[in-house]
Amino acid sequence: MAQDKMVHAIEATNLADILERVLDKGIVIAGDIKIQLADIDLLNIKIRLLVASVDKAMEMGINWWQQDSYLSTKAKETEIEKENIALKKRLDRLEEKIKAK
Amino acid sequence: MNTKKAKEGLIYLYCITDKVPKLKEIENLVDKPYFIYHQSLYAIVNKVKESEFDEENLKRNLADLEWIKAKASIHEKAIEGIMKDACVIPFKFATIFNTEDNLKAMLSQHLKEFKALLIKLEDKEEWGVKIYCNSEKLKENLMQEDEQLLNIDKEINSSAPGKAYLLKKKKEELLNIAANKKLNEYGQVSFDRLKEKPTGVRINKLLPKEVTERNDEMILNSAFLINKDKVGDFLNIVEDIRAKYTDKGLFFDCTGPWPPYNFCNPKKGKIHNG
Repeated sequence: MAQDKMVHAIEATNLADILERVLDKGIVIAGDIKIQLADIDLLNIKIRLLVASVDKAMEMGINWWQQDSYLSTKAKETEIEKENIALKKRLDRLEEKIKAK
Repeated sequence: MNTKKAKEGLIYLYCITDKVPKLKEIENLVDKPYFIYHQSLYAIVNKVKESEFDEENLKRNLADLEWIKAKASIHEKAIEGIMKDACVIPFKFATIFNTEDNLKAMLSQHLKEFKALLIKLEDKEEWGVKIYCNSEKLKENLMQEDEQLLNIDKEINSSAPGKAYLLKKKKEELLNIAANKKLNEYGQVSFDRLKEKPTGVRINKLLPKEVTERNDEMILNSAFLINKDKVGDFLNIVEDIRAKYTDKGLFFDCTGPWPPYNFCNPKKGKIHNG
């Protein structure tokens, strides 16, 4: 199986991978110590990833994901499904009413 | 008063879960980790020194790459250890509380949110895929495939120096356009395949070369939330696209399983079921 071939995150990745996630992601809840990671001058310490931007992608002319409708269509599908179920129920009720008459 | 507080230390929060956490997994990494149980949630924490983590000292330490490296690695490994046996919500680096009561108050305040999130994350893993492009290799391939470019090459060889120079310029331009087109095509196909199995997708900022320390350019930085029983399929898909595009100049860096860092903030990481 392919999974067996994969090395675990910590071994397979360089430190940038860890820093990217630990410093920039994870749930943000204000603790008692107020510190804005973005305020710190990180430029000198290679954690430029915090200020890297998608502008770079635009420069390179790669932006396929921005037009990607995956997330929005999924949401739409769920909405349509819900509406569908509601309509079917309404139809059933109407049919029963007609039969009862 | 201050001296007493310094002795008590601060509470550093790694992650929360709704199962009894197995601290043995992280005892060799973190100095005396423990958990705080509150309203059905377990917060995995550690005491840290104020001389390192209070506001002033933390600010100073955050300018020190070696310090960050060490602490961020501990943060990551601690969460990974707990994650082996339980679904976790990973917290951002340096989420710190003065007292246990403050932490408990925070848990109460976000109880509903955390419980809903744990349900969403149950039996799922985060995986990361970064795609890089070696444009030299991509262009070499194109020079052998693209008819227009092949023709211009022939023309250059049979032209006088002046004309050959102009043709070379034109060739370069065409090559860049063609390479960009191919890159978009390969990227789109890869991304379409990658998102077949996951239930959550997140696109992150592209990282510059200074950070990646690679010669090729990053063209996709993505994270996926995948049902555990679909991870095998997902990795097979990664192998598929790797086999398809490696010779054409792309490099695929797939890592995981990660704590679900990218899928914890409702506004940022979108999760949908199905």
